[in-house]
Amino acid sequence: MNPVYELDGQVALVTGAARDRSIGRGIALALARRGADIVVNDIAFEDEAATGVAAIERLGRRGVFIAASIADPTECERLVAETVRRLGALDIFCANAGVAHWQMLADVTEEAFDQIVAVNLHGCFYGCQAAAAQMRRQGDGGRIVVTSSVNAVRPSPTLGVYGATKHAVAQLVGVMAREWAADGITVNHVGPGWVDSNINDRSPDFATDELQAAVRATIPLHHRPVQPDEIGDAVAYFASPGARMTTGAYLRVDGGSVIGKY
Amino acid sequence: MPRVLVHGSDPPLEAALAGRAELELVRDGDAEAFLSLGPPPRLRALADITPQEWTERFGVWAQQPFWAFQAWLRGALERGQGGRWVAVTTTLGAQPFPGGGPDGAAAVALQTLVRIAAVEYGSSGIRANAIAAGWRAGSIPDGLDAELALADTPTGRLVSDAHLAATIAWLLSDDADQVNGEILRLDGGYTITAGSRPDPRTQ
Repeated sequence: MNPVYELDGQVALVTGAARDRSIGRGIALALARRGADIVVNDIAFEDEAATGVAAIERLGRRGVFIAASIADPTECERLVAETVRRLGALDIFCANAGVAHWQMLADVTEEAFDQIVAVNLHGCFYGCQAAAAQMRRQGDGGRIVVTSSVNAVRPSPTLGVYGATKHAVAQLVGVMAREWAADGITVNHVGPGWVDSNINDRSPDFATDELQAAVRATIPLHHRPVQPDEIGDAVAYFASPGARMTTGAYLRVDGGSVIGKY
Repeated sequence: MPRVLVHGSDPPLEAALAGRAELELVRDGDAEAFLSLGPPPRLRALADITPQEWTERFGVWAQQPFWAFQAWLRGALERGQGGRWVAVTTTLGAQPFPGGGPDGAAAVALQTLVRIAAVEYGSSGIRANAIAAGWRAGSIPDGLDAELALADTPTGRLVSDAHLAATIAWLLSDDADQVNGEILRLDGGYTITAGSRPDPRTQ
């Protein structure tokens, strides 16, 4: 592999990475393929996480699963401490965990609002804050890559609260990049469009073949959803030596779905 | 004279709005329009902020205005006569700003909810817009070099309560009938300048 993109000897922590068809799995494997050891984090799903850890080990890397809820700041600190205890350091933090509910604004429930905000925004921040503190202690900088969404830039009906959290996260990335540049920490985000992942299995937008065909027609590049490993490739770029002077950046991986319309 | 249901508290701005004959501000009951007012902005470094402070800022900037909006929205949909929402937010969300993480992130969350409202309920005659208000005389946050902020504002003036009130009144008026889902920066051009010198806090 081109050394510009190698991650040999790096330790990465990926949140929301246990599920078999998740973006987190795609990120974890993309980083492992480039040489990083991986902590797979999720709130549960230990059986599926074991599959991911086994795949990481087949690539010749170390892989461990640590269950923790990133919505709890104390849990985030424990997650980071446990990562360092088991794999020796934390060089790359991928704030990827997210949840979605599809509701019009007049129908948004308190339960859905609280869960989306707790995981997508608060959890993202608590995780980044704990990871950055560890990177500061290590004294050699670090990489933070956040999974935002095309909803950070384009409003989608029924995804109001989800989009609000993703826009907030996008803004937060810029401020983290500014404030933590002095510590040598880069902070960037990738914006997935329609991904063929477990989170979208409940989406009313993709509920039937007809609806899926309609969405495919709006994606200029190959008329298909993005695969989780394609998000992983973008994350791996931000984590790599090749991106050492890139911070506060946004990379959409959506097949061009939000470039204008029609 | 449209009745405007006000959420949040901003006494100087409310006084400026009260002086405008075309608006009637109310604190409860049915209203043709909804106006959410953000709190004074604060600056806080992300490495230091506590979870309690973080969630408090999200609460006042986004969560509480949203629930108040939803209650008004349900009433407006039931009445079937359309309506208008103007959210007064902050320019801290318009660009990454050292210390502006908590308030800026929460402010853009509310701005997205405004844009979603514009898309979801435009066909019901409801318009939704937000103002990203810049630095205002009398409410410069602690930690901001006011002299630097003024130097980096092309108009050379801070935003006055009268400026803000006039913009709100316009967005609520029929003159802005085709303005929907807009995030209007009202900052004298501050956001688009590069900055005349680095902020010492980030060096």
